[in-house]
Amino acid sequence: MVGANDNEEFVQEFLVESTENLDQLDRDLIALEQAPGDEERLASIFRTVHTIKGNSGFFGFAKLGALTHSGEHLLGRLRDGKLTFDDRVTGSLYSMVDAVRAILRTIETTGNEGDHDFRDLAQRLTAVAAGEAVEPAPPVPVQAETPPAAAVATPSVPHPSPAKPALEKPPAADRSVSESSIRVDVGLVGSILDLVGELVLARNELRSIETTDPAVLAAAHRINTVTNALQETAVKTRLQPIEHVFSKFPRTVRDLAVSCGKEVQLSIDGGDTELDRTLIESIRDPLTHLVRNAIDHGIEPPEVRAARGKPQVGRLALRAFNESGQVTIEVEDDGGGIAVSAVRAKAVARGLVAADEAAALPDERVLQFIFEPGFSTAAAVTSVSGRGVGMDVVKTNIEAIGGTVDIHSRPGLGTTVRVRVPLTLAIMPALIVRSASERLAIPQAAVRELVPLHADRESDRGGPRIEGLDDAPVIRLRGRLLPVVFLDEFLGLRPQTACRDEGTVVLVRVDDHEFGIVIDGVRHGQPGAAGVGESASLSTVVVKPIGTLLSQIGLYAGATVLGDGGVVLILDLRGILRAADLPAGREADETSPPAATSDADRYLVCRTRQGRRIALPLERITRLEHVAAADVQPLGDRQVVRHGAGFTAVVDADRLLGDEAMVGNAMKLVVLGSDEGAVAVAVGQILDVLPAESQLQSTAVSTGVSGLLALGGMATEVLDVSRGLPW
Amino acid sequence: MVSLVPCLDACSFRVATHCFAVDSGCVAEVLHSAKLTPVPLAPEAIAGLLHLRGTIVPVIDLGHRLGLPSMEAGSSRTNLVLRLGDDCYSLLVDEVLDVQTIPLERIERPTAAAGHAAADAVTGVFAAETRLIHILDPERLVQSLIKQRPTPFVRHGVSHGG
Repeated sequence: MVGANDNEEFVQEFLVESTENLDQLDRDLIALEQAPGDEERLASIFRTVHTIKGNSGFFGFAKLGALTHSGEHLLGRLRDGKLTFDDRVTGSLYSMVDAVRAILRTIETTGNEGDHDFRDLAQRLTAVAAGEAVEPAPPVPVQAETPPAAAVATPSVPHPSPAKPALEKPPAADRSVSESSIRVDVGLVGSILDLVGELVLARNELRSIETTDPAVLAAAHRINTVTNALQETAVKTRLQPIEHVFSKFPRTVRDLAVSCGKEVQLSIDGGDTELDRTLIESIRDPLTHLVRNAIDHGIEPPEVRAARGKPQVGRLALRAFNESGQVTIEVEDDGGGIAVSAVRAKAVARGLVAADEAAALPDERVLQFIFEPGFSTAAAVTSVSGRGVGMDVVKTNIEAIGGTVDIHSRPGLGTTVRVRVPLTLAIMPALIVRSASERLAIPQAAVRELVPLHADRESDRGGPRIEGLDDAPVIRLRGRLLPVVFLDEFLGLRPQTACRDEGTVVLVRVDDHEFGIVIDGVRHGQPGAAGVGESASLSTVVVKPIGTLLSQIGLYAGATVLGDGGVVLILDLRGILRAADLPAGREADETSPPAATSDADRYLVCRTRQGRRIALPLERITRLEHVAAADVQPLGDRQVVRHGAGFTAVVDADRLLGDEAMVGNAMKLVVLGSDEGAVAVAVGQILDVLPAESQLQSTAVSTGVSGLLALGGMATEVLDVSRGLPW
Repeated sequence: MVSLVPCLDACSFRVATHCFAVDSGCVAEVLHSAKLTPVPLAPEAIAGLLHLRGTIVPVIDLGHRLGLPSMEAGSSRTNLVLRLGDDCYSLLVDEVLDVQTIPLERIERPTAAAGHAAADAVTGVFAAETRLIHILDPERLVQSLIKQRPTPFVRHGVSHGG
């Protein structure tokens, strides 16, 4: 006797199995369309429909039974050679598959068949089977991709191999995979992974016990080996072939091509590339969107293609492959490509870039504007550029899972969109870095390089040093100025960074932003050592969620437990980028040598301690310093700060301007000149380095000011340093 | 003996001089002297993270949250790990007392006098023989922290001009 609960379980199984069968049907129908004479394929389709029919009878789903019965009848006539395979037949069979899907979905959500009425369809199937002339099937509605019926790990169903001699060969080769695999609840796999993580920690503890007992050592060694193998295997259980997403596309492509009036040949490569199942779900929609775009806007109608001397049938290629620890998925079409000039014009029109800048931008950069929110929704671009809507959404979705999207276009030849996603979100390589007393993890996928800083300002060898201003520190690397964040200071681990001179810069790239995260470097005892081994190490970490309470901080993507049992937070680089509000990296003075030839008309903009906005000519400035007030010693009515073996005179900017000098406990010094001639101007805050936007206007200026300049859109007084300072 | 009146199985604990209790059904574990990992820039009431057999558990410093300065040194305090739905949280308390069955009818509405920082998380008060026990709704406690977003980001730059 089958109890109610048992029955429910059976129905679930039926739904899962049927949904898989329908996917198989889609593939088989498309294959049959291309090779109408393939008897084995036809037999496979017949069996699938027959199975669904049988099961629906068993569970008492009458409508499903009736519909599949009509379909089976039609297929029977085809199989018996009483009917030939043509558009009418395919059309009605596709309609049947859609209808069956709709009913299955209703059963899944409501438990019964719902009030679908497919009698018309059943009649049409019967009519087609009888060889009667019928109205052509209405165009198959393009369906939104729906998630699979149930969250189950299913094995790969490889695309059917070339037709084999059709004889009494029960379930075709493609079904045999299911016999060698089992369905496992995803939650169960998750707990296995957690337990393995625990085991790894226990193993590490075991390893740290000091013993000379050979028996214990041998056992520990074996446990170690087994644990490693177990961890590797357990991780693999979460991976699924990308085929699960790709398998939907033959049908999607066919439907889209039909509705757009285009001819498209889809080729799929690398369907066996594996990805974490949660990621597989996340890339489904973005990929569908890209495929849709390629057909709708990329591939030209057959006439146009013919006129351009291209094969009439457009080519769409989906490729997946592993590349440096990530999975790359390419969607490539041989359509018209993107009209870069139209994108450029649109970017200017939308104020994203100035016209002269836009003209200078390389095409590759211009194409990136397509990912700007709302950019491509404009009809003008859609029609001209041949690229559709919602690329920003694609980008957002892919980035949400730690991936990247980029686009390449060859005008007239086609477009390639390349999506890169991590293999899994659950386990990833990460750089474990140290900052003050804390260890933190940086996802390795974002790390470009590690650069040790050099304290020795005069030295040309070794790494770069921190330049720029306190509020906007940068490093200069191969001609580029990249903003940096001092991790210790940023996270409040130290009131003021200790890494300015001897830290290590972890250069990361997030979206299109490159910036440096300064971590603690190799310190104490090994000055000049180029290695960063002590401050950063690479490790494969299991990512654990940290919950709303902590993810609301916006700086952490999760946490992980290291081999020594320590918990380490994983930095959310996108969050850091946002929170630190970093300026974009820029080319350092274009192509000119780093010495900044244009210093002559650039100014350091500061705020005095009284709050006045002043500027000093950059060419006169030798360095910037941050000192505590206690370091400044009064010397008669003057002030000096000790510097190396000698002293540097300090003069307060406000006093130069004829105001009262404010007393504070820390100040910024702008040092002009060098050695004995050096004078430091004390200011409250250093704002920026800006190019002059006007001529120096020297009329009607106040004490200590040489003139007025427009800097950063504001009138700014330029401190008079030309005649030496009155000290 | 089976009690016929509706009751609450309450796990009571002490924070400073005050007694609190939560439904013992959501208590997953009591841990003494666990190692906490600090979370930089977290709200102040977050004492850190706890690693509990594969799960990362945020630890809420209840004393801080309730405005009751703890009398114990940090290390000697106790983690009361609660399971709320799929999530785990830990309350850092001074001492876990006991589990007792409290008839619901003897739980009174909290008085306004309980007006401390997390007053809205206190759902009732029970006068035990020797002390007053505040019944806490851990769900509300956590929610009150989630709503309390950290102040919008200010860059932690050096202080300017003093």
